[in-house]
This record gives sequence, structure tokens and C-alpha cells, in this order.
Amino acid sequence: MEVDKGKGEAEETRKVAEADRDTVTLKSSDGKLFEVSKEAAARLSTVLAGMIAGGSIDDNGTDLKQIGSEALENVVDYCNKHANSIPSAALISSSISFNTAPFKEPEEWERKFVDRLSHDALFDLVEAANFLGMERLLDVTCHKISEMMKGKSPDQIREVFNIKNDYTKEELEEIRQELAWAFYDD
Amino acid sequence: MAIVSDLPPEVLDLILVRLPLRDAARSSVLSVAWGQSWRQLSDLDFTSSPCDRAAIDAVLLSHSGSVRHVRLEVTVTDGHLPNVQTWVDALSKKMLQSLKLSFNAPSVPSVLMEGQDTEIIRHSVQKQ
Repeated sequence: MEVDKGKGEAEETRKVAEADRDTVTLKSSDGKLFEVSKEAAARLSTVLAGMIAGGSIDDNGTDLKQIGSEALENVVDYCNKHANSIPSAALISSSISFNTAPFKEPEEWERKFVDRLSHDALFDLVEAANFLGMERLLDVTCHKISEMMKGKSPDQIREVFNIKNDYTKEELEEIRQELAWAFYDD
Repeated sequence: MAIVSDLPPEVLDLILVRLPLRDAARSSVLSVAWGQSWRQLSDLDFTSSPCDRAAIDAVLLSHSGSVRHVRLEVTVTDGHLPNVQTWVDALSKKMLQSLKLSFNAPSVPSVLMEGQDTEIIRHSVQKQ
């Protein structure tokens, strides 16, 4: 921003401080710092909105000890992309209605955003989104996970998602009988 | 390394409600945590997968949580209407927010469950 000539140093400092407040600095569990649009952070995360409103944002980096740097980078990337994207008419008008769908479909750029992630990165991002109260990012990441599960057998899903089967053989047999309608053509 | 088993129950629910009911049911054999999430699924859309009456009975019987939204299509076969009242009774204990029932019969049976937290959308579909 160009500062008008003839104005005092104090004025200049004040303007810089104002500009600084457009972003907040977040610190991952492994000590890396990330800048994120304050407006987008407050709009997309209930937890960050609460911290901003409550004045508990640290200019030197607000500690988010539960979130690793890779997940936090994705969170910040998502917020900043969101800050720059123009919401489509579909997104604006999609009030939650069970007559159409109980949740919002991801935008094209959101699909691409999660499609490029490895499985580990995706699950770390889900946990980060859940921790930060980011409803929209949870929608997008959970949508992706459900897409990955569709049409797969339980064994395939366990393998892809690294799920440990902690049932006894008897318990499994009982569930399969109870849910015979869902397994009849296996 | 993150594994999906570690996801909290509320996140498993967000994943399961996006699956057709049959896929959501099948996920219950993955692990104990997934099985619990299936039995507490918050939206039951019986129109998302082919479900016969026995399937609907079984799902409602094993469900152990509250339900926000239910969508049911009631099919009259050989002139017999299934016991919708039993299903509605089972659902009435579950903090339901919306129940969408549709019938493939010209007349709609008098299913009664009007309550403060419940909106019933009743409509009949003309017999094909």
C-alpha cells in the first residue's frame, strides 16, 4: 500500500499495524508458522473465530499443538483459497434441505483440493477440520472419504484405510446375520 | 500415521450419512467403532438402497441413538400395507426432526406422529 507523502511516521506505523491485522499467524505442533486470512479463518472455523473474538490470537504464532505442519498447511491453504473464491449460486442457495440433499456438495475446486491429498494427509486434514470446528471443510473431506468407500468390500476398505478389525469371529458372524439384507449377494 | 479408525464418532457419522444405506450398514463389520457409528447413524434414508420390510425392521430394531432425518418409501405389495405404525412408533422415541414418508398407494394410511420436533411430510404417489 502506498503511503501518502507528508504524513507522519506514527501514521505509517498505524497503517502497517492495520494491514497486519488482515491475517493471523498459526503455529503447528512442530513449530512451523502459517499466515491465514483473518476474515476466512473467522468465517470457516468456529474455534478460530472464537479465538479472534476473544483476543487469544498471538501475533508471534497462535499455538495449535494438536495439528501437524502438513495438516495445518492444508487448512491454511483451504482458507486462503476460500477467501479468494467466488461462491457459486448453488452454494449460496443450498440451504440444508432433506428434500434435495442433507449436505452441500463440494465445489469443483474443493474436489480438486482433496483429490490431490494422500490418504494420510486426507485423514489428518479431517481431524484438523474437526478440531478447528470447520464445518465446510469437514463436509468436503468426509464427502471424499465416503466416495472412496462406495462399492468396496469391507476387506478392501480395511486395507485402503488401515482399519484394524477388533471384533471376535462370533461378533462378526452375529452382525452379518443381523444385516443379512446388506450382505445377501456377497 | 493417521488411521481412519481413530476418527471421532461424530466424524464417522458425517462419512456414513453420505453413503447409500446399504454401504453404511456394511461398514459396521469394519471395526467396533464403525459398528457403533452405524447403530447411531443420524440420518436414515431407506430410499438410498433397495430395502425390503425385513431390512427396515432390522435397521430400526438395532438402532440405538437419536435420528434427525428419516426417508421411507412405503410400498404396497399384493394389497398388503406394511405395518408403518410400528416403524413410526420405533422412530418416535428418537428425537426425530423430519420424517418423509411416501406411499405408492392412492390412499394414505393415518400415520400419527405429529409432535413438536417432528415434521411429517405425507404425500401419496399415484399407483403406476
